[in-house]
Amino acid sequence: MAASDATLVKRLGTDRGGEALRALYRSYSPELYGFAYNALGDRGLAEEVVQDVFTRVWRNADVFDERRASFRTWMFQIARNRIVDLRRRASVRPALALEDQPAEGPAVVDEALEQAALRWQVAAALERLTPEHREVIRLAHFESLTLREIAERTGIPLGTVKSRTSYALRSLRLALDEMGGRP
Amino acid sequence: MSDCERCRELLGGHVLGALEPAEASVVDAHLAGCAACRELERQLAGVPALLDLVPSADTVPERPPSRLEDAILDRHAQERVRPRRRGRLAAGAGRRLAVAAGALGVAATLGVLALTGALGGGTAEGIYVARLTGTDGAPGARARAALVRLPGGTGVRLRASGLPADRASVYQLWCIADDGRWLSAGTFRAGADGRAEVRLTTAARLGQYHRLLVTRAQPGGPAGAGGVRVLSGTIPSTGPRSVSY
Repeated sequence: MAASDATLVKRLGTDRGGEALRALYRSYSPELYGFAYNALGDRGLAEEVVQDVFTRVWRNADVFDERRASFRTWMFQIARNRIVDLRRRASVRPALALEDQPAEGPAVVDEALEQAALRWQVAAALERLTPEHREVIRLAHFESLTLREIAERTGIPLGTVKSRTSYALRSLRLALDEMGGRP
Repeated sequence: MSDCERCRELLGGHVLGALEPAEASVVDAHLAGCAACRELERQLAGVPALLDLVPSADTVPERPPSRLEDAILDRHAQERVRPRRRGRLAAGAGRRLAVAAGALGVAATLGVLALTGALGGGTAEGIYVARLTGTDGAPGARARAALVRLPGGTGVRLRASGLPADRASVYQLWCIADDGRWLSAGTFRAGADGRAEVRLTTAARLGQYHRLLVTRAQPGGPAGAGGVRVLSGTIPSTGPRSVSY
C-alpha cells in the first residue's frame, strides 16, 4: 500500500534521496500548478508558487499536524497565501498608472481563487471521461443541442444518447468529488 | 422500465436542459413525488455551472513543466546538506577558502601538492585535484579543480579553458554524491576567450562525492541540473599520494 500523505510529510526530515518529496510532488503538483496558473494567468509565476509551496512544506514539515487539517488543505492554504501576495504585488503596479482600478475585496479574491481551483478540476475531470461521454457533454452543454438533435447528428439511437448523457454526468460528478473539492 | 428507471435515464439530459418539453414535464412530475430521484438530481444539478468555468469539453488541464520536478528536488537536496544558517557559514567558509587558496597558490608554484590522505577517510587534510574533460556539449573544454576540505564543506578552485565563448551562458559546477544526488558548488561565467577561473564553496563534504560535472545553461534554456553537460571528471579516491599540478 502506498504511504499516506502524513507519513510522507514525516519522512521529509530524513528524506535523503528525495523519494517522499517526489511522491508528494507527483500527487499534488498538477493541481497546484493548475490552481496557480488559473489564478495568476502566468506560467512563470505558477512555477514560482509551486516551488515556494514545496519549499515551505519541507521546511515546516515538523509543524504539520494531520489532526488539524489534511496535507492537501494545508498545502493549498500555503499556495493560497502565496497567490494572494503575488496578486497584490501585481495589482500595485498597474494601479499607479490607472488610478480608477478598483481594489479587490476579500470576497472577490475568495471567489476568484475558488474558481481558479475549480477550473482546473473541471478540465481534469473532463479529461478523465471516455471519449463517448465527453462527446455527449460537448454536444448537449457546449453546443446546446437537444438529445434528439444529438441522436440525429451522430446516428446513435436516441435511447443510447439518453442513458449515455446520464452516465456521463454521473462520471463527471464522481471525478470532481474524487479530486477533493475546494482549496 | 419503472418510473424511477425512466427518470434516471433522462436525468442527465434534464439537468443539461437537453430534453424535449414533453419529456422534461414527465421528469419534473416524477421528481416532485420521488425523494430518491430528487437526491440524484441534486447531486448533478451543480454540474452545468461547473462546466461553464471551462471554454470547451476538450479543455486541457494545465500541467507543470517536467523540469520543475528536477528543480524542486535539486533545491531540496541542496538545502538538506546546507544548514539553514548558511549566511554565517558561507562567510566563514569564504575566509577559510581565501586562506586555502593562498596556500594553493604557494603550492602551485612549488609544482607539487601533497596529498596527505585518501579521500573519504574523514580526517584527511589536503588538496585534491580532479581533471575534467569536455563532454559532447563542449568537446574542446578542459578544466582542473583543486578541492580543499573546509569545516563547512569543500572549497573548490576551478580553472577551465576551451568553453564555448559566449558571455551569456551560465555554468554550474556540481558534486555528484555517491548516492546520486547533485550538489551545487555554485555558478560562474566564462570570458570571451572561453576561460574561467573561479573559487567556489559547497556544503558537500569531501568523501561524499567522487565525481564533478559542469553544466551550461543558455538564456531561455533549461537552467541548473537541466543544463547541457560540458565537463566531467572524477576525483581520485586512491592512487598516488601526491599529484603534479
